[in-house]
This record gives sequence, C-alpha cells and structure tokens, in this order.
Amino acid sequence: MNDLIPTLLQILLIIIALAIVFHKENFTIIIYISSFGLVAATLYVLNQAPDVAIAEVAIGSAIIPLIYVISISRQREFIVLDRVDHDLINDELIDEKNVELYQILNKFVDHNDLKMNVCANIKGSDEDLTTDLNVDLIVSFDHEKQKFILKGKQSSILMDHLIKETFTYDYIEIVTFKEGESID
Amino acid sequence: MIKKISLILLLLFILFVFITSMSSFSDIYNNAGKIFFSQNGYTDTGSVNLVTGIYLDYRLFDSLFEAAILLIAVSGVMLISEHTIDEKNATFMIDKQKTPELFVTFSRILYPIMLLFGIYVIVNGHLSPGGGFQGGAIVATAILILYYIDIRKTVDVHRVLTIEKFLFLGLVVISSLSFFTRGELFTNFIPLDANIEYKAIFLTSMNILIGAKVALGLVAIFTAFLKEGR
Repeated sequence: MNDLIPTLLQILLIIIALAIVFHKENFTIIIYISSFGLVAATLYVLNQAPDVAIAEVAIGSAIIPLIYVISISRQREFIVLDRVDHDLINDELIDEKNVELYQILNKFVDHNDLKMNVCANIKGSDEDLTTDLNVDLIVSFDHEKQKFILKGKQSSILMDHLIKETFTYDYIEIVTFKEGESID
Repeated sequence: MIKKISLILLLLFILFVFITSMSSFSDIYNNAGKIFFSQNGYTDTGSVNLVTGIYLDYRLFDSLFEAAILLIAVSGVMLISEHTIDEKNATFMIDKQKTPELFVTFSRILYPIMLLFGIYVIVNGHLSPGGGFQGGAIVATAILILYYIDIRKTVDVHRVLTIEKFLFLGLVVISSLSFFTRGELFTNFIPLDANIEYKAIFLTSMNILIGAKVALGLVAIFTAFLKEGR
C-alpha cells in the first residue's frame, strides 16, 4: 500500500512526458512542463530529498516556464516591410494584384496564429534590416519582370510555408537569402 | 560516414566504461560514507542539514566551481544575445498585450510572501532543507513576478553583472580564509574544536553570498531573454 502513491506518480510522469513530446499547442506544452516539475518534486520528497525538491519546484516549474512564455510570445509577430513605390505604378491591374497579395498574406498570417505588422518608408539594405530590425518579409515590385518580389531569411520555417502556398500565383516571386556571418 | 563511425565508436567506448565501472558494485554502493557523515557530520561542520554540511565544508572546492558555472552561463547568454549590454535595460515584454487584472492582484499579494520565504530558505540553510541555491532561485522568481506588477520597471543589467562578479570574488575569499586559521584551503575558517554555534557564522554567510549570486544571475538571464528579438 505504501508503494502505491509513488508508482502512480511515476506512471503519471511517463504520461506527462509523452504528452509533452506529442502535443502540438505551444502554451499547453508549457503547462505540461511545469506540471512535470511538480510531480517530479513530489517524488523527490517521497524519496527523502527535500533539498532537491525545492530546487526542482523553483527552477523546473517556475523559472523555465516563464522563460518559455516570453520566448514564444516574442515570436508571435510577423513584420512586413513594404517597399512598393506606388507613384511609379500607373497600371490599375497591378494595384488590384497588390490588394490580392495582401489578402494572401493576411490569410497566411491568420493560418499561422501570428500578428501582421506592416511598415513602410524605412531605408537601408535588405540584409541589414532583417538582422537589425528583425524584419520577416520585404515586399518590392520589379518593373521588368512585372512581378512582386518577396524577400526573407532562408533559415525561417515561415518562408518555406509561404513558398508552398504562393507558388501557384504567377505574379509573385519569392527570394530567400542567407543570413550574414552566423556563428557556426 | 566518418561522423557515423565516430559516433558508434564513442557509444562503444561509453558502453565499455559503463560495464567496467559497474563490475564492482560493493565499491560503489556501500554504507561507509553514510555512517561517517551521520556520526561526524554535525560535530565537524555545525550543520543540522547534512547536505549543507557536505557542500559547504567537506566539498567546498566543488561548490565553488558550481557557483562559477552559473557565472559562465550568464556571460554566455550575454555574449550570444547580440545587443550591447547597456541596451538591455528592460522595458517589459507584454507592452502590447495587457496583463490580466486578476494576475496583477495575486502577484501583489504573493510577492512579499515569496521574497520572505526565499530569504528564510537561504538563512536557515544549515538548519532546514534548502540552502543558497534553492533560496536564490525562489528570490529570483519573486523578482520576476515584480515585472508583471509594474510594466515600467527597469533593471540595470550592467550593475547586476558587476555585483555578481564581486559576490563570486567574496565567495572565494571567504572560503580561502581557512588557510590562515586552519592551515588548509577551502573549509570552515573557524577552528575544528570551536563551539558548534560559532561554526554556523561561516555557513550562514556563505549561504547568503551564494543566494544573492544565484538570484542576481537568474534575473540577468531573464532580462536578457526579455530584450531578445526586439
């Protein structure tokens, strides 16, 4: 009878660990991680290690979830820099296509649970802007090809999704570039 | 291909070391240490909590490097996050989305209690479960809750890092004091035959230093994460 509670807690620990691995929703995973810390701390107390249990509660179920919450809420913005020069475009057809482009982008952003943040009139080279200001996408218009050109980082997974969703449209071209000198 | 072969060789080597070390169980699992610490621990170190007695007296040399690990981790986080240090005087992250009112109220109630509990765990480290690291982590959590209460709160990371480095220096100096009183490095500086109550002076001061160092280090890491990605 005395072994019943530790055994149940160990089974619960395995279930929570599997749930952390297989779940898709980020904030739910954070809740699972902190409950994993609580169950582990209870097991430490039952095995006569109260010192380790205090450290596990403080680090595993308070500080690490807080850091994860911050890191994830930081990634919820999708910053688009608009560099289309509307004075040079006289064709109404292209204006219509520009509106259509933004409808596609809105759909894409909603689908990925992000917030779109469009800014314009910022000067500087594309590479510097993506590293300094953390811009995700740069929209510009090429007059020779008559195409909208979307530029973004090659390392971003969102760019892969965007390529998959927009390759059917003939007036959109996606260019990816490598980030400058990375550490590795 | 070379990577795979070297990986397999490494795994085989680890397996070999594991099997050879597991061959003599009686050398690893015996009662000698347990009996020694329960007989001499209290009179040698003056600590009721034997874990504190071990990591602040018998194994103080190891604890110093444990404290150094956190210092190195904080320095690494600061190096990898690309901004300059002065830029990180944090304005809080949830500036765009509003923090719920209920959460703020509960944080206001919890903050002094958590701070008090953290300080209790640090100061009572040699009498009850806990100690410098655990109490420092609790104090750091309390300070992190403070960010939710007041959005405009700022932390000068530069000053925090400087204080942390000086605290580590103080830790090394206090633990080396025993060279002049006992003739050996990294142990309690109060003589071995002194009263047990006096030995607690050393344990309490070390616990307070370690607690302050851990709390400041964790706050610095947290502040770096807040400013990251802006």
